[in-house]
This record gives sequence, structure tokens and C-alpha cells, in this order.
Amino acid sequence: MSDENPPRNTEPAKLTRVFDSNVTSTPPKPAADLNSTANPDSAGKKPRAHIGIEIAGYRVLREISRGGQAIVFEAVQESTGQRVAIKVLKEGVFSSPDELNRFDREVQLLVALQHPDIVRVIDRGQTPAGLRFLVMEFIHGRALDQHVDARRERGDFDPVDLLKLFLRIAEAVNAAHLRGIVHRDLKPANICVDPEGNPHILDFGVARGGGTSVELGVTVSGDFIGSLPWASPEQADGLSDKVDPRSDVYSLGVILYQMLTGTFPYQVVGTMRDVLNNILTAQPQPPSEVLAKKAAK
Amino acid sequence: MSRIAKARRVTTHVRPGVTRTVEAIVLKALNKRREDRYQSAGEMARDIANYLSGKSTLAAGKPDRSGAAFRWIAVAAGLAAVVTIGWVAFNGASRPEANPPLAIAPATPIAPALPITPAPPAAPVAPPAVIVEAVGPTTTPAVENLSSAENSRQEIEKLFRPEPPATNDVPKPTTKLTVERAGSTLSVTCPGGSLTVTKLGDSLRIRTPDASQLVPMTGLTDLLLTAGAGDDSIDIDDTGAINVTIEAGKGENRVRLGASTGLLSEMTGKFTIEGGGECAVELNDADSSSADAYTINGESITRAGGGDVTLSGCTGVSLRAGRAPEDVKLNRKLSVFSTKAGMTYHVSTGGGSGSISVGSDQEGATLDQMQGRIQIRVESDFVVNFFDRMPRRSVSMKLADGTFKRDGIELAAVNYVAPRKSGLIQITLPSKAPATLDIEPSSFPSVAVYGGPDEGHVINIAPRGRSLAMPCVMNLATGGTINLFDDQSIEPDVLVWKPAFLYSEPADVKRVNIFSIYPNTARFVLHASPGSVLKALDYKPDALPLEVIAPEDFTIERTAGDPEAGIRRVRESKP
Repeated sequence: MSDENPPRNTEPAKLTRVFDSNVTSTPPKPAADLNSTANPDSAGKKPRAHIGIEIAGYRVLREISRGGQAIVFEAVQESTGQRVAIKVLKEGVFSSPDELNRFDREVQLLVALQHPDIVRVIDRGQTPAGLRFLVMEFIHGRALDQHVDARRERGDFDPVDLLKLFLRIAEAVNAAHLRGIVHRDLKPANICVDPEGNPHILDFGVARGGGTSVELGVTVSGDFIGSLPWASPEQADGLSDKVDPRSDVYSLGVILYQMLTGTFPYQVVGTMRDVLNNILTAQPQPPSEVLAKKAAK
Repeated sequence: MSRIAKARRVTTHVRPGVTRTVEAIVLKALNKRREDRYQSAGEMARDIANYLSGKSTLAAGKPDRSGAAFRWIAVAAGLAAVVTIGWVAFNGASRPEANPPLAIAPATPIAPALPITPAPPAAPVAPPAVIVEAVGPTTTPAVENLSSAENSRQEIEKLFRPEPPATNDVPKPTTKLTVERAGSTLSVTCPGGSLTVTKLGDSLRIRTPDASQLVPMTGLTDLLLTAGAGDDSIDIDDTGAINVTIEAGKGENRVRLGASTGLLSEMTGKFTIEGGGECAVELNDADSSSADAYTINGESITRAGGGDVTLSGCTGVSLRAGRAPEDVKLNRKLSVFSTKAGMTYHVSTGGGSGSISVGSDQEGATLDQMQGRIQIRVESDFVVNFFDRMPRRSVSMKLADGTFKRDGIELAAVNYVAPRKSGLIQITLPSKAPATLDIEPSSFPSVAVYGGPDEGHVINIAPRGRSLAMPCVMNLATGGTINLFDDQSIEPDVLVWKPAFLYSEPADVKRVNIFSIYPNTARFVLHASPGSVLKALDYKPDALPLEVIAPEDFTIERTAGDPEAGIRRVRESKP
């Protein structure tokens, strides 16, 4: 009767992970700064020719972030004037038609998923060059960890409020779980809190290949990058077929641990081998002990 | 790098104490074994909500009463006294034993720039109404530009959904939203007629296009929504265990439960919907993990997972269950037991597996109580059942081109939208009574008919000039006469006959398998077309005989034995 999977171009390659969120991978800006940009063109200092991308129906303003797999642009939807974020997936992020199909299916689910605390996917399509793109709601705000830090610095720090904020995050993640979407990459950088205090979860399920779902890697100095500190044991073990909603539960646990104690449940800085080993075997230090130790200092 | 530095800096600050319960919640989420963690984010969220409202938790059992816990509550209560805009609603929730706050402070996290009529001073007995009023269009309407694939999908959605949400409407000039709380009942009046109710944390957010209101859910058991006088659009996203009564206006109304979040299975309260005019109700359950059952009985819908839905004065119901990936195994049961004249029933499977039943499998039940229109949409590997179990009555049924008819009354249309054709239609014929069933299954991947061995049924497969070369599998668990019509010449027209098993060649392209579990009582009659060939394989003399009504140039090929043994050729022209 209808074909939900129209023929598509496929670009073979391997996607391991998407770039950091559009909000947090740029230097944090005060929300007021973004809001006050009356003329959208003034936001992008670069001439448009340098943006190097044309997407029908949208006026691309500037590049927000650039990651290994995708570039995110800020744009204006010409028909409505609303500010959007467009994520253009780089060539060859899908290694097989299966992964492409999965991507398409997840996008369909995401378009249907209209949860107030999950960043809305508005549109999708292909650029003239054949690159896939996703159009999302543009969110003003900052990453969850920055939000928590800022509140603490203001002295506006109440564990009950934090739990309530976290509760909304967990409920939003659950709404996606109920549709069969697993985030696989939950971390503070993927949770944006707007100036009114509402959380918005970014990067849900999409733009991630079928294989490894978490970027594993360390810098030369041994500091972590990417999503490893929030990875569940099954993700750290590379058991991608075991990744399910409970993997998101684990990541939520790390996030809540961080919110409450300001630290990770175990050592996440060091060689990759040590970190993976900690995720797989180290028992988390009880938050009360962490706090007692800090209080004693 | 900067974030790492920031994370380290944070560690140097000491945060207020963490209670035993919160610690247990965090550690439960961090179990190395998946089986020992919370099994879903929802389970974790519930535990936190339970902790915040002083109930027992999965992680730590009974609520703790340590000093730290009380300190938190004291802080929260202190904050609430000062803060007037924001998450005031949480204050009530952290003190479950306290009465709900009398005055609801205006809170507009969505549109803070709107003018707000502040609440009058709190009266000690009768809580005052809070009116959030906005003038003029303020919010940018959400516009969804979708790609062409999405558009075609939406075309289908449009067919299915009685009244798609109009996202481009010009906001109404003035919308008053009155929210009034009396004890455990919350009354919401919205003459503008466009209303969305969503659960955010432990509060309800009540929203019109240009006003928004947060109300704490603590102690709330009933929600009464009175909409406008015209065309109302009421979306209920999530209301937890609260009972909801909706009074719609006299126009064309649309009520959606589990509207955008699909959290119907988590909404366990009772729903009563009274449509003043035409009212289409949509039940949207996107839960891919639960095994919910819904039974439609005229104007009431029974939900195994929670409170019932009662509809009165409504003209349509759209029940859409599941939005799981196809391969998710569910056991969801959607039953249409009886339908009311003048109503249209859309029943759809969003994904996963389960069954949709029209009629009842109880002995004695019939399809006679089906009065309205039923539209069934199968999006995944669901079984669709049609039951007619009334003894001693003769009925005539027809399954063709996406419709199922009984005695001339159209009962249901079955549309497949699954990318991979899957699913099964099962028809149960009346017992102890003859029935006639015509099957022209152009779009059904698989059909099964149940009737018993000696009922004298007549089943006509592919009548009216159709070919047996259909992509379909048929299992016939019935006796009686089974007529196989193949009177349309299609090249190559080769039929393969094994006892009680017939299919057309080439099998991988167009295939119809017909198989009866009652070969001893079923009489198979093949109405063959000119020039076609019947290959009889695996011949056994005692096997089911096949009668062939065929023209002169019909050929029978035999792998062994007498070419004509067991096949009675009746030389006459096709009917």
C-alpha cells in the first residue's frame, strides 16, 4: 500500500559517534546574547560563501560545531522564520544500507516523538551533494553540568531541585524508550537546560551507526574525551547487541551521581585501558562517602 | 579540555548531604549487571518521584526519615516561600503530608513575557481561581516541514486520523485559561478550546496557545476540563493516575489521550469524554514494552492497564497502539467487541506484535453487534481475527481488497502499511451452521479460516475471474467444499498439487499455498483455465481426491502412477 522506505543513496563507511552537541561544543554564550540577535545574519561573521552549504528552504547562518561525523549549522527556516539547528552528516557515515535504513526509521520515530523535553526533529532530507541532514529545534541554553555549576556558584543549589530536574530528564528518556528508541550517548553535554530551567535532550538515537555507539579514545595527556565516562559496562565491553534501555539507565546513574557529588563514581581519567577496566569492574564509591571526605577536607 | 577542567573544579565543592534513599537510587542505576539496574528510565523516574513524595522506593524500601531528608524539605519549603515564578509547584510535592497549596502561583516557563493576572490573595477555605490571560498572538506556531517520504506517510496518517492537528492556525486573539482547585479536583475552563495537558515532573502543565500554567499534582485525583463552544482541540499527554473528565464544545472536537508522548499506558486514571458536537477521540499508546489490552465495547473502552475510557456523543475513536520496531515481541490484544451505529472505529497497530480481534471468540458471539464502521490498519506483524461463533445461522462473508464484509455489511477495512508485508488474517466461521466465504486476498499475506470438519461451509478462493497465482498463504482448517478458481490465464499457468497442498509456479514470485487440516472432510474443486497444467506430486492413492472442472486443453502431469488416479476430471466449461 505504501512504501515507507523509498530508495535512497547510500554512502558506505563507518559511523562511530556523532559530534558534540550543538550547544556545548562551542564556547558557552550567555543566552541573552543569542536571543538578542535581532538580525539573524549578524550572527555569522563569515560570508555566506564560506559556509559552503545550501539547503533548500533554509537560510544557513553559521557553523555551530564540527565533529567527526557531522557539522551543525544554525539556520532560519524561511517559511516560518524560526531558528533551527541543521545537522549535516558527513559523507559516508553509514557503512551499509541496513544502517541507513535504521537511521531513516529512527528519524521517523523521532519526528513522531514530540516530547516537550526532547529536542524536536522538524525535518530531514538530502543536500544537493547527497548528504543527509536533520533539522532540529534550536535551543538556547547550556549543558546540564554548566547549568548545575552556575547554580551552585550563585548559591542556588538545592538537591531537591536537582532531583526534580533529573526526574524530568529521566521521564523524557523514558518517553523515548517507550517508542523503542535508546539514546546510547547520554551525558551532560547532550542535555541542554534553557534559561527557564527546562531540560532538552539532544542527539536522540540518530546519527549513530549500528556498531560502536560510544566514541572511545583518550588524548595524549590521558584526559578523557567523548562519552566514555558515561558509558555502561556493556558499551565499554563493546557488546553493542546488549545495549538497551538499561544502558541509558546506567548513563543516567552516572549523570545523577555527578549532579549530586560533582565527581564520577570511579576514576575516569587515565589510560583508556584503566578507564574501561573501571567501568567494567570498579564498584562506585557511595556518594555519602565522597561527600564526607570532601567535608573533612 | 575546558570541560574536563570544569569537572575537576566542581569536585572541590562540597554539596549538601545525600540521603540513604538517594544513594540507593544512584547505586541501583549503576549496577554492573543490567538485570540489577532499573529496567527502564521510567522505573528510575518513578523511584525518584516516590522519594520526593515520601513514598517507599524500589531501591531503598520505606522512605528514610534521616535528618538530611528533612533538611532538604526545609530548604525546599523555604525557597517556595520566596520564589513566585518558576517551579513553585515542586514545593507541595516534597511534602506529601501537607495540604496542597491553596493559591497556585502563576508560573509560565513557556512564555515568560506574557502578562499574567496574578492570583488574588489566598483565602483560607475556598481556593481562588487563577486566570492566565494573554492578548494577541504571541507564540510562533510550530510548523513541521517534512520531506516527501514523510509527506506520503502523513497522507496515510490523514486517512487514519480523523482530524489531524492544525499547526498553522492563526492563534485565537484572546484565550482565557481558568484553573481552579477545590480539594482533590482541578477544574480547567478554556473557552478558546485549545488545550494541552502534560505531566512535567510532579506537576501538570496546562497550556493554551498563548498561556501556560503549572499545577502540582500532589493530592490531585480528578481533572475536569471544560472546553469552548466551538471546535475544540484537547491534547492530554500524560496525567498519571488522575481521573479526567472532558466536556467538549458543540463543534468538531478532537480529543487525544497520550497525544504526543504516547504515554497512554502510564495514564491509569479513568477518562470520561463527552462530546457536545462531533467528537473524535484518539487513544495513542506508543508503549513498546508493555503488553496492554484494549477492548472496545460501543462507547466504552476497557483498558487492562488502567482506567476505562467512556465516550458519549462521540463520532469516532482512533486507537493506535504501539510504535515499537517491527521485531519487538508484544502480546498486545486489541479487541472490538461491539460497535455503535454512527461511529467510526480506527484501530491500528503501531508496531510490535499482538492481535486485533473483531467480535468475540466466545461460543455464541456473533458479528451482529457490529453497527459502526471499523477501519483496521496493520503496520506490523499482527494477527487480525474475525469471529462469528453463532450456531445455527447461515451467513455470507467476503474478504476482498482490504475489506471484510458479512451479509452485505462492511465490517472492516484492513490496510497494510508495514514495509515488510507481514501479518495474518484469521476468520472463524459460525459453528454448526453453513457459511459462505469468498476470499479474494489481493493484499493479505496470510489468511487462515477456521470452521470445523462437518459444517458444510463453502469457501470460494479467488472467485470472479481471479487467478490463484496470488502472493498469499492460506490455511484452511475447515471441512465443506473448497472451490479454487483459476480462470484467468496468466503465464506460466502451472499449478502444483500435492495432497491437500496446492500452489502455483513459479513459487517464489506468485504463490498461493492452500492447505487444509481436514482433508478427509473437505472437498477440493479446482476450476481450471484453458491451457493450464496441473502437476500432481507425491501421489498416494488414498490421499485427498481433487475434482477438476476443466476445459479440453487442460493437462495433468503425474510424477508416478496413473495420471488420472485420485483426480476426477469433470469435462465442462467453467461456470
